[in-house]
Amino acid sequence: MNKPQQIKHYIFHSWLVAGVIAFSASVILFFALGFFSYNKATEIAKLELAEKATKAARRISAELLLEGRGSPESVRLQMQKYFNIEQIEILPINQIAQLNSGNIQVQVPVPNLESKFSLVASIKGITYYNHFNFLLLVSCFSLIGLIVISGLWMQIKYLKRHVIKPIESLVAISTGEKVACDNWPTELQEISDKLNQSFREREQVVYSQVAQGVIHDIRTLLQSLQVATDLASEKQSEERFKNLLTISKSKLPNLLAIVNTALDGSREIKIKSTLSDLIKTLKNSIETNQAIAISKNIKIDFETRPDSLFAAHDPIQLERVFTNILKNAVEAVEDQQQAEKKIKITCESILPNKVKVTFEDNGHGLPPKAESVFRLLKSTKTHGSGLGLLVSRKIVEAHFGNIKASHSIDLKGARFEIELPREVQL
Amino acid sequence: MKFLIICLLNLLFSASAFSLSDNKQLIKVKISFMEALAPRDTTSSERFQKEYEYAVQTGKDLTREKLKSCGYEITEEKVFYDASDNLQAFEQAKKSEASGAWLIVGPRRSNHYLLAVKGAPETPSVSIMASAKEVFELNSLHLSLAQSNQRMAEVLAREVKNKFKPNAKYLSIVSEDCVSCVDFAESFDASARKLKLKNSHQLKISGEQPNIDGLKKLFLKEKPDFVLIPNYSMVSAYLMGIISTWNPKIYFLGGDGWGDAKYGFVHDSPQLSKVNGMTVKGLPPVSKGLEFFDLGKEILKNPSLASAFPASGSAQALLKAIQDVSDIICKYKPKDKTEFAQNFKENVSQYFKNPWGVSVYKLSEGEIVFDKTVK
Repeated sequence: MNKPQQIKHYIFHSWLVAGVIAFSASVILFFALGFFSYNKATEIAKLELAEKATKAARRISAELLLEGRGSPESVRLQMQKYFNIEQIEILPINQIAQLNSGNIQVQVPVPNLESKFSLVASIKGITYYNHFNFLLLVSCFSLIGLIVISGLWMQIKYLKRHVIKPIESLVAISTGEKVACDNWPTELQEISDKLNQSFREREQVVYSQVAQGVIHDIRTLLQSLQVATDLASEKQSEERFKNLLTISKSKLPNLLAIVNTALDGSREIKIKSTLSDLIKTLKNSIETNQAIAISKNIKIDFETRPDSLFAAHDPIQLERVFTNILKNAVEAVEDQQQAEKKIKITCESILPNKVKVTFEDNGHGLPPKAESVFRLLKSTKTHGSGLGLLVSRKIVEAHFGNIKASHSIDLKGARFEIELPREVQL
Repeated sequence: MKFLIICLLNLLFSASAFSLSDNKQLIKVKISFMEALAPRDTTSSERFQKEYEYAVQTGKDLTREKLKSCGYEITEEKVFYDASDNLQAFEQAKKSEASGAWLIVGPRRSNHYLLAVKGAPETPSVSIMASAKEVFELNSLHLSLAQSNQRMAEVLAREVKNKFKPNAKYLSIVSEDCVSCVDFAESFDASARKLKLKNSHQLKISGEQPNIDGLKKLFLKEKPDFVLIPNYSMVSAYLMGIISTWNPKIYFLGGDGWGDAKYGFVHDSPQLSKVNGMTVKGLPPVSKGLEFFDLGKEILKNPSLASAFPASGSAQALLKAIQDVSDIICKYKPKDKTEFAQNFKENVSQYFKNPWGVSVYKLSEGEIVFDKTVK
């Protein structure tokens, strides 16, 4: 499951859980309110009945006091009708009335008769289910729904403000932006501070290592130049002098290449794309390394399906890439003890609009995480600035292609694959 | 020295004078005026309460000097309660007796008065309007200024006999929750039988707006000459409004619960402005009872007082009650309540006599108009 799907899944489950909680809460609230409403209505009805019963008891008491003249029975019926009481009964004071189920009933003493009688009044009970109506249900659901939606909305707002925005800001900090983090949670502020500190330290390390690598390479060349110029300044034969001059001259492009590579590592590479033969570009880089390969007894096996493969590219820049990879392969293979030191190069059209160039060797191979060779300062060599492959990748990406490093299954060494579009959109 | 003797003599005279005024301190006679008020019944309206209070105050004012000269002073306690809670008559009377009231001027309604007597059996009491026969059967500590139902029914039966042919038929509709009404109807039936008037049916009802649809068939079949409705005014007006639609010329007879012209009938039936009938009351006719007793005559001598005094029979009866109690006190000079009760009991036959007889009223096109007095 990819990330967007996971988020969707998470959001769906959040809403599902919230919905279930809202539904359960609504049902509980519905029954609680209904029960409360029923109890309240019953209580009110009981109080009203008690009030009416007290009045009726007083009227009946008066009739009983009048003895022969009064008409308690007539007044009892009259009170029943007047107060809309279902049943009024007069009982001796010590007799407890039987409660009819479903009825509301009160028993009050008949006053001023030396507590001889009590009056029992009963009315039809209030229907329990009448208090659970649809409107109440809708109200409960609406209320709970509103609360849940508000809660989720607040949660999203909180997440955006306190989690997502700080993370975005942390990303911005990683690219060197200055971001204020006054209102962040303490934990995130601490992470931000640590990241800032870490980036500063890394910058320092990168700076010193790059400088060290470049300076080392330049010093090596300068030492060679110094030796050559020292020898040339002494009395030498003309032929010897010319030879020393040639050596010195041959070092200068290398020196320039080191400086250019260092510069390319830190700036954007601009390519001048033309429709050229990629095979030819590849062959140029092979020729550059051919002499040294032969001197080291290394066999370069170049396979190409078509004889020519035209693709839009910058031949100079891509030649630099191929040369760098090939030179690395030579250096990786030369110290190996195998009987056959071998570098295999293939170039093929894999799609109508895509070509692939592969370099494989049986050298000492790449680190376990092969892709890390493209990171700054990850040189597999004992010397070198570690900028070569970084620059190579920048050049390939400038051609809208990609470069991959892996372990060669056939030759048990390193393997580099470069895929390039045949037509570069610039 | 001379000055000192004068001062001493002066002091001596002052002391004796103070002692004399102390001895002449007035004995307070507490009278409890108790009445039921029914806001839905015009006869017990707020207006009635005001008139009632005015009559009591006037009675007190007119007897103050006389009582003072005898060494007495009336202090009144007015108790008004909700007529629908008649047990209060019992409870309030009990309270009044416990608080030392010498006399209770009790409620007009017979039932209420009888309950008050139950609550305060040892305290002399007078009702200004109770007319049930039981009231007249009480011991001599308790009495009514009104005529009895029996007497009123007798007069009414005689009057109606003169109006209709022999063997005239009538229906009666009686509120069974009004004991005095039932009592009046029974008394009327007894008198009517003697006068050969025929009661074809009696319907017992309850409540203020009873359903009498079932009576219509019988009414149209029997074709009665008149209908007896001896109930309170609200119920009577309601019944008249319905029955007069069955026969617009029907004649109605009532008891003393109908009220009088001052209050009239309160009902929105247009038929009520056309009904005719007759009723009797045990109280003096409106504005015509003052001339029958001394305190009334005193009011009539003063035109401004006479015009301000309430015209109702209840107000006149209240005045008569205050006059009689003042007379008893001044004549027998009781020291306390016990002595007063004794004097009241022994001499009541000479006091609290109804001087007005039975008043006959005509109901003419919705108006109750005084016709005559029958003694």
